[in-house]
Amino acid sequence: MNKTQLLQGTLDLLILRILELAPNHGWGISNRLQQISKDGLKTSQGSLYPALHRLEMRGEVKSEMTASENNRRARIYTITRAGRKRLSQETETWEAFALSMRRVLEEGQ
Amino acid sequence: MIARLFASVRGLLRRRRIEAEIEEELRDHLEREMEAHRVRGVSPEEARRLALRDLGGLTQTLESTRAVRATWLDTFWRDLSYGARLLRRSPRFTVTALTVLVLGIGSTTAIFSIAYAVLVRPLRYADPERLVFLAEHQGSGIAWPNFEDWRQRATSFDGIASSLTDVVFVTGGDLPQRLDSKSVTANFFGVLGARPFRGRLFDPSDARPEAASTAVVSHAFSMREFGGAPAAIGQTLSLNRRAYTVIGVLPPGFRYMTAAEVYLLLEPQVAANYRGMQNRGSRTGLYAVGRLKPGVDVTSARAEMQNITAALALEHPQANSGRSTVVVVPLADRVVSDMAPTLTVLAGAVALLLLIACVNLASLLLNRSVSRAHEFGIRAAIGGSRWSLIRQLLIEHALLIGTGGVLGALAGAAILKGLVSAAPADTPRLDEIRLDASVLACTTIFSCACAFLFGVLPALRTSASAGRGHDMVRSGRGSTRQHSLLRRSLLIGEVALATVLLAGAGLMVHTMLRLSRVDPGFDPHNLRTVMFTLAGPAWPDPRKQAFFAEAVERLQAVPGVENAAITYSLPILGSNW
Repeated sequence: MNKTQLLQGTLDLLILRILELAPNHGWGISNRLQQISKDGLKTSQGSLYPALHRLEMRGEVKSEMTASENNRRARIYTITRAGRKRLSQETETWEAFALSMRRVLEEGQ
Repeated sequence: MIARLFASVRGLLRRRRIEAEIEEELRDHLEREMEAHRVRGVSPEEARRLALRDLGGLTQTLESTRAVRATWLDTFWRDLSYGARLLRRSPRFTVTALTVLVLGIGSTTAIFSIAYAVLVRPLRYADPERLVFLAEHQGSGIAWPNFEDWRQRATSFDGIASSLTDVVFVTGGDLPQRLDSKSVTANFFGVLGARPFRGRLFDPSDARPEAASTAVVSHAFSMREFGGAPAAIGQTLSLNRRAYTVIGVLPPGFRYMTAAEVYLLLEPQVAANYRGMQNRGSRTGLYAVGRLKPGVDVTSARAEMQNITAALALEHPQANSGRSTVVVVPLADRVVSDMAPTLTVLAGAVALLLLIACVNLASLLLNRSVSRAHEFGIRAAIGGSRWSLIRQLLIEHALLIGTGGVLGALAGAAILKGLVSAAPADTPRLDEIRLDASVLACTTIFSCACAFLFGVLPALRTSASAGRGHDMVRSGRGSTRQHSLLRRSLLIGEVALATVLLAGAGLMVHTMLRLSRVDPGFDPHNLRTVMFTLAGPAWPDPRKQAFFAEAVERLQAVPGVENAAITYSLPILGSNW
């Protein structure tokens, strides 16, 4: 799998995970994503913003335009309760999936 | 659901702000990214290039992010304004299509509203389908003794009432006032199922010989004469030199056959032998209305009445000679009998007109869809989804038809108003005519269906074939050939229809012209007519004759008058002519 290609659900999960640590803006999220995964999960920044706004429409994150350095405004995203709930559900699903995958792969060895 | 709708509307209003904020957000992202590159020692130009590349282009990302935010209302709004822009950009097409729509929908709605009000809508009486109209031989008036025998012998009816259309004069004031009146039996309003607007209507006790003289008046009369229905109750009306107490006011718009302002009881007039009513041989203008018992149909009622009439003819051979048959027809048929064929023909012609309008519209739309096939091909090729094309087309046509429908309804109302004010006052049910919502809906739906059939479907087929991406040129040419065939057949049908209509209209005009040129058998130049009535107990026959003679004499003495004469009915106009 090309490392820049991420399943949409996975991207949502990653965004929610990063926002669970601290509120952040879009660029910060994309930067954190690269740092945490050690550049292994470099997402296309182009798909990050639609994903963020979709999450907001679903009520899983909320955002606010706040003043930042050099007279600019940045949109800061914060995870909501619904977002946390989804994160924990999807994490479980993901872990179950990863576990099954590992079992199958190890069986095949 | 409603909350979501409000959110959508708010979103629509805030759209500009949201879009500006998304752009601000993305620009902020680019600045930060460029900054990060510059820190690593990349040149500003290269930093900008890298940042834009990683974002996937500013405009593209802006667009895809905005698409996430867009609600169905945004999409609808965008399609609507795009459609409006397109229509504005081709004013010739728009004006032509709208004219066709407005004329088609307007005239059809007006005429069909009239036809519906006069022919189809039930009469405004209780259970009108059980009401029948009764008359003697070939529709002539009923002799009162015969009517009484009918009432005693017939078993098909819950009740039979009779009425006499008459005029009365308000006396006692400075000038006598002429009123249209009806003399009715005490059960008349009961048979029709009419309810009083104020006061009460006649009941059998009013018809007793010793009862005081009572009258029921129309709503319009109570407003005009007494300034309101409640004020009318208990008032005294001096009619034909006799005092009547107003006991009730009828609901606005109540009408039986012709309009009347005052309703009096028939029974006292019979008792006074008015117009010789007690005589079985006298032909008065008396007609009857009957309410069939539930479950009895007109045919069996007619059969029964036929037997009774035949028996009466045998019992009173002299008085009832030549009165061996009876007329029993549904009241609704009688009310509209004269207008039915005219209106049916008119409605048919106008339906053809709507058809022509739709054919015109169809060929216009077809033309347009052919010329737009290229646009749809391109849009499909660059990834416009089929649904978004359909949606765009539907909204565009809905916009056109909607505008046409609204303007058409306005035009229809105007046409209807003109027609009603031009219609003869004795047109049946004239006061019940109004623009009918269901008729309007029908004509509009018809136009919509036509627009969809000829506007949306061909364009879709074209876009589908072009959208497959292969050999756009050839498929385009193929569809053009198909369309031109369809267009040609539409054109042929249209010309044929127009010819038929023109011929029909021409014949009608010709007939009218011929009629107006018919030699009446006299010289109508310089003729003037005056109509007047002498009626009531104050005018016994000898006094009338004296009046007529003196009137002619004095008219002839007027300077400039060559000659004068008096007649019962005017040439051609009167039914007795």
